[in-house]
Amino acid sequence: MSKLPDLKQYITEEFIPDGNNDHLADDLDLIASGVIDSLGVLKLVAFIENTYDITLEPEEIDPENLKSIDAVSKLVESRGISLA
Amino acid sequence: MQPKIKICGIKTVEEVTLLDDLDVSYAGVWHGVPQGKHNLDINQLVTLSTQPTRHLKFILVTMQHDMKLIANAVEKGCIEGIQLHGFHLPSLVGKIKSTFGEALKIYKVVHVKESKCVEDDLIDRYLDSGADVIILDSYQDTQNIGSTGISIEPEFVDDFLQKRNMAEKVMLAGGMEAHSMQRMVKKHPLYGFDIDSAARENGLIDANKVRELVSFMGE
Repeated sequence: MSKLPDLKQYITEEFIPDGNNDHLADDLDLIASGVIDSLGVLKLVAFIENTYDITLEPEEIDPENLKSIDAVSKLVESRGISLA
Repeated sequence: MQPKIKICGIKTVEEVTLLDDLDVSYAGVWHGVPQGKHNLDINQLVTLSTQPTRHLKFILVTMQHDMKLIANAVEKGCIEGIQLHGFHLPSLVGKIKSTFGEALKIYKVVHVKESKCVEDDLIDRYLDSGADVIILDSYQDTQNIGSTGISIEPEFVDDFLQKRNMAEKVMLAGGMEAHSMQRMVKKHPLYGFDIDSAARENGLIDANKVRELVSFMGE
């Protein structure tokens, strides 16, 4: 079970045309696997900021922090937001 | 200060000489633009950007996100700046600035579609990361980014520039032509214009068109 159900639902609805998220493991590299492209990463940033009401620092807006559900989870939790 | 003109997609030594003779500020050379109609390989990029010029400087235009490829092109070419034309992240802008310092200007393109800027929330962070100039360009979809010949609605540009009060750091791109440029210059102290289609006739750089664009900026 993902710690970020909203995020998983968002990625499924926004980037997976057939809506099948069976392969969407929390540690799947979304960029390398082609689930999201560079425009998708920008959309993901906007989703994170709007959903969790945070403003990311420029250096935080980096593929390493955005490449998987796990990575995003760590990024959000580093701001003191509990996702458990 | 007179707005600068950049002509994008230069591919030949003859075009370099022509633009230099016509007092154009910048030539955009494409590298790392997959399927790009003006894309150059690294040898072509080096050949063009090392041509002796009086005033003309070169800007590397790229869609690449790979820092190694970007660094290779910057180090081998003789370029004044890099134009990040894709959906790049602020962290990459910061890495380029920290690697090359102020000697390399960073031009970050932001994309406008249907009067909405995709990266609107990130513009301040691009600037904070080291972007020197923001280029407003139109786009249709991820397969049609740059040199689309499609104009951004003037009302959007007016609102954007008035809201942000940073016209001196903004270049306009996307379907620019002489009269629309002149109209913008009268209203906003823009950094400049990024031009492709308006400088061409049948796909080739046209001296008369370029001359007209340059002369309009001086009026």
